[in-house]
Amino acid sequence: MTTTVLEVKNLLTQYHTGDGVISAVNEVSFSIPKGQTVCLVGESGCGKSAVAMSIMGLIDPGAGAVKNGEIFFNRVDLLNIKKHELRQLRGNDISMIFQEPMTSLNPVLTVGSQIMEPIMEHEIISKKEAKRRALELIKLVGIGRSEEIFDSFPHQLSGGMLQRIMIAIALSCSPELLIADEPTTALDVTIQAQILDLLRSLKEQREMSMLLITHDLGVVAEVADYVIVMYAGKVIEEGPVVELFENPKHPYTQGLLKAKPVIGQRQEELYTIPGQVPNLATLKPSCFFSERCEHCMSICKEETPSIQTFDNEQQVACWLYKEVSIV
Amino acid sequence: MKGQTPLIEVKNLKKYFGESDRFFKRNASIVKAVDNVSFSINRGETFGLVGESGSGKSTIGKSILRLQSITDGEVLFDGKNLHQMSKKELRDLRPKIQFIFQDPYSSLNPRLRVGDAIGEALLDHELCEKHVVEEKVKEVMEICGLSKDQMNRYPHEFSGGQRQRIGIARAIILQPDFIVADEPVSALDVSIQAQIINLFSKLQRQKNITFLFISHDLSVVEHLCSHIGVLYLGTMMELGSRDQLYSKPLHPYTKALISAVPIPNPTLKRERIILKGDIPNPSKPPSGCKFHTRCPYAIDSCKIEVPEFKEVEKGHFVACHLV
Repeated sequence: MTTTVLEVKNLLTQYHTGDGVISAVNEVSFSIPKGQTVCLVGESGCGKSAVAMSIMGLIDPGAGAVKNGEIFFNRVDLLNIKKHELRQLRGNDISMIFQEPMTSLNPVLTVGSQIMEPIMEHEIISKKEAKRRALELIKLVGIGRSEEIFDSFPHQLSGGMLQRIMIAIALSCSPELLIADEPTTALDVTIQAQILDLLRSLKEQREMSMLLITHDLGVVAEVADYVIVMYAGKVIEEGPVVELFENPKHPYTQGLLKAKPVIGQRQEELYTIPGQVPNLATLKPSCFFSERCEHCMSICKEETPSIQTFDNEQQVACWLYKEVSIV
Repeated sequence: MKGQTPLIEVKNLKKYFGESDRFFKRNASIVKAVDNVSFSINRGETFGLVGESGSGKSTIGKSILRLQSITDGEVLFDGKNLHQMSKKELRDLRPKIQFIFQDPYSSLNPRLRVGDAIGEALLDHELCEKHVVEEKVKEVMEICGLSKDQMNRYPHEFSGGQRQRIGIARAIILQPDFIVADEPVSALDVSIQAQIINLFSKLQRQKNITFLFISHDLSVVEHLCSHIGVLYLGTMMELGSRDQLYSKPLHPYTKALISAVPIPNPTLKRERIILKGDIPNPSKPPSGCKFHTRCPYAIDSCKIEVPEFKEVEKGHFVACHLV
């Protein structure tokens, strides 16, 4: 059977804000099998990035903290290991790519030295050997002229090139799990297609697992094996990619899919989800989507639905389906 | 209502940067941000400009409204040359031509109540009496999907989508004939994006406003625009109606752009053209056809000769040697 690389159980991450304590990640559970790509989808503020930050142990202690839950990476409890052990894992076994390649690189160091840094940090290796590896990585991510790029500074490269460099850095120690937080959002469509293609082929070559965070359902359809939809800090639906796109169950997932204009499919008017994302600080026990849901029932406003599994591995947290199963 | 007289005519528009400031010029190279672009927009139509970042879309938008000077060419609004108007004439015309910006966060004054921000231009142009301004503000707020009791709030109290609605309200309160919308939905989430796109369609239908819609998102452009121009490094590569462009794109760049848009259907298998490399440095554009460095079909003559922008069928223009 497939082994599980990452397992997140009942994760609760809270932030302190001016309005009070908010649960950016609210009882989220999921797992990533080896060699699979899991996509976290949702709109801004739904907590998808907070999940990634919690896994990496990068939540700013001044702003918030993981309050509850467990995160296992290859059976290692990430929330209860020593700081230096976590440092050993980060960048080595788990690495991360951020949305803004321009701001994630150090502007005063050459690109080459930044690719060498994690290799030298995690492995006992000579500088010469590290440089050879760095040059190889630059070629691997599809940039020719590797020697020239090695000695250049971030401002001399375009956004697409920098994102490739970020990927090279992330791959430098052959991680088992790659977390990519909106890796193509800041890029043009043509460059996005290149980067997605690269990520896909790397995943296949290296049997790497990937957690891809995005708001773009088109990107999800292209790379995901398994999809998790989040709303207001909660997982509202998840399932294998084909099932989820063909038969979305939660009204929010259905709405998201209908609201997106699709090339080649013209509509007079787009479907819209009325209203906007609720303020997380003022949420009461209820289905958090109830205010915007066209199927809202009285129970939706009183109790938070728990997640329920269907036979095709699809899972949904919605009262509409609870009723069906009771009847 | 859709007459066939063009409201906007852009003729051989050129905008070069790095020319005028002699002082710093030593090694400065000229960037031809817009190079010989021509198109026209009929009354009541929405024209879409697409292209990657750095293709000159926004420069064209700003040049058309004379928010910046141009190097050469003409922009005609209803037959009158915008870039030869006196300051007085231009000021009188301003209410008729409006701009909607990409970033709703930075385009509103944080210290101005939104009601005042929306009504500001009406008073500025002395288009109505002070006491009726409030009425008008309430009216457009409602059209734009804002509730009228929000008019005394400040911009920070609104979400991104609502702020974009405020930006739209500010533009339409003047009852303009022509609006340039520069990436108005790019900064918004999917569910909010759909709301704003629908608002644009509603304005198209109800107010007969002519739009120039600038976007890098080809699916949004297909949804809203009847005619589309594809830009690459400041040059128009293909121009045509929506059906012509999306059903039978002729330029390899247009084909690549369309095929690069991810489609939310995991079972769909389609042939994709993945372009190699990035958009070249605009200060040193490639010779011949500017696209030849990335074109999968480039032949020798593409490197030398600049392809002519020719009409292949009625209203469908393309600049490519292979067509």
